[in-house]
Amino acid sequence: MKHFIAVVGYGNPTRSDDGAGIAAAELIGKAAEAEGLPVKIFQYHQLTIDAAPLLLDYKFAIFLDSGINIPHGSILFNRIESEDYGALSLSHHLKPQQLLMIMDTLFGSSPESFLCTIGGRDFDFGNTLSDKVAATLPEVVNASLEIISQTGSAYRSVFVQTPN
Amino acid sequence: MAREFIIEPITRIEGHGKVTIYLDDNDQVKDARFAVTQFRGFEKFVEGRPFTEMPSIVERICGICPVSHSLAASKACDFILGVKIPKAAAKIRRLLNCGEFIQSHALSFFYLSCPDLLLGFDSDPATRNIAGLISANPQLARNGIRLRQIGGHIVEWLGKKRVHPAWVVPGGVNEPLSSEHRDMMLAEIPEAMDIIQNTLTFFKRIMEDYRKEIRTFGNFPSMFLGLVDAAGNWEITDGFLRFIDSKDNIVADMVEPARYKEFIGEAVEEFSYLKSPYYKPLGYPDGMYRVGPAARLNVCGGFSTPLANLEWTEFRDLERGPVLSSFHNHYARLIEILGAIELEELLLKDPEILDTHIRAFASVNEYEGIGCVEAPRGTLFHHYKVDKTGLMQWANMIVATGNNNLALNHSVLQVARHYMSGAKITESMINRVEAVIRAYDPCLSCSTHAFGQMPIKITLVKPDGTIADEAVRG
Repeated sequence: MKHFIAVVGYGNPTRSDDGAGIAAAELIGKAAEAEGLPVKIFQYHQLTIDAAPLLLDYKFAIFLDSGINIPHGSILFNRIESEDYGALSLSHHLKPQQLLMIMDTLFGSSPESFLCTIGGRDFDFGNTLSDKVAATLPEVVNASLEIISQTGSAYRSVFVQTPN
Repeated sequence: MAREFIIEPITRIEGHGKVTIYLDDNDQVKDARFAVTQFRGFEKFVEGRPFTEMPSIVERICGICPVSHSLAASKACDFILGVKIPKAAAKIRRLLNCGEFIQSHALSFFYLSCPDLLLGFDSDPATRNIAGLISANPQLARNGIRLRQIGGHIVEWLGKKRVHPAWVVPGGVNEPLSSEHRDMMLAEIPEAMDIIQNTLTFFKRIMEDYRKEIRTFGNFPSMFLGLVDAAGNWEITDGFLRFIDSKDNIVADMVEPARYKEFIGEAVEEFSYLKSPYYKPLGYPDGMYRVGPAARLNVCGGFSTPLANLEWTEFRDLERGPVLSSFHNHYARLIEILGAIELEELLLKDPEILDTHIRAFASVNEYEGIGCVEAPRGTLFHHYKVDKTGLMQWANMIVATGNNNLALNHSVLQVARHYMSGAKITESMINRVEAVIRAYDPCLSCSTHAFGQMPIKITLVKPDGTIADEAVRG
């Protein structure tokens, strides 16, 4: 039964800002639980093919990652769709769009998805986020919850009716 | 004029390696070397740490087979504690190793090797990868993902984490198996059985297409090493060392792993960070031996479970003596998955598996400990020395891939001789050199896990250092 929302944070929490997605996912999980939203949190070092069957049960997904293609401390939400996975040279480099394509090819469906990119700058060894990235996390949580509550309202009613 | 080819990096293996092929004056292959170009240093930097930390530290050697390292480390630490671990702990450690074998072998077969086996070694490298496999045979890909997931569930449900679970500890394990998780594991067994039996049927059908590769992929006489149980059957977690020679004679049997140094010497070559262990009585390099799936099936007298034993009989019928071709590691891997699933079921149906007495406690009672298990890739040794406060003074680790180092070099040489034509670099040769290495599923580290086409640069270098030829792929 597809009635949950998946929040997938990925990155390396021991490489400073690379762990922004993981940290954001954890905060979203706590906030969603407090608000009774039907959200399941996933945290990965990298997105791999192994995640494909795990996300099958979800109609909607938010992927959270850090990136250097936007200003430090800013956030960008994009609706994403399946994308050709090409040669798939590295398991470590699976983009969420490629994961969605693998799900479509192998299982015939994939969740409707957003990608949230958090602009990072410090990717050196370290288990703390840069100040700017840490300061932007509440905004990531709020924006994610807004998307979840808008998109997830229908799912919430299904969830209430069929808790299993 | 003597020349050399360099292939770097090797793809779809764990870690960083390169191959150098040396030609003689007549452009015939003279020698080949498989070198590991990364340095990890675990043996040195664990010195000074409390021995109780070892299972967690050495797990970080690898992201694919951390369970093997934590098991070997914990067994070495059991020696230092001087304890016999509770029966339930021994059984769930075995169960954990079954999960490791299922998930790691599934990764090797379906993700890393199936693109070659299904699409062919000479197919377009742009599609000869997991993406090509997904397109060509989605059911096979789904089966691989599912089987890996089922194996991973065993590790995750026991250790709370799928990678690097801090659950195996000196003296046992830190939490018992719950009846809920036992039932969840049992529920997945029929599907796992179905997948592996279908895959065995598939593999035996396509094996005929690879007669040339079977003949040339590491197909040479050598010794073999593996663990066996007290009855001489297949064993992956406890048991005794058994060495056989290339004619199937048992040359050392029922050897306690703690005596490994009497039988295994360690050589070092200047071109690689990987050790070259050898069978001591024969010296270096004549004491070359192989470990891993085919080696285990060669040394054992059968499986103690019926379905795997039936497959084992068929496997051993491939040749009169031991099965020599390293290509057959793929076949052996599938049989071992079957054996691990059968063993998993036996363990889960044993009421003692739920016993909550799962750890023995003690402080330092011995200053030295040796632990040995079969990792998916072969026999793994951890040997520790501590001071009276339990701080690590010295460590020696012989990992599965190290055991195979001499054979890997010999296999690359054999393939290069068969598939190189003069000084010409061919795609066919590169593919097969990589594939023979992949047949051993070497784990050079957990740092890179590539399973598709990566840039490969092959350089033909003259003795004076100038480049005679160069090919770049990717």
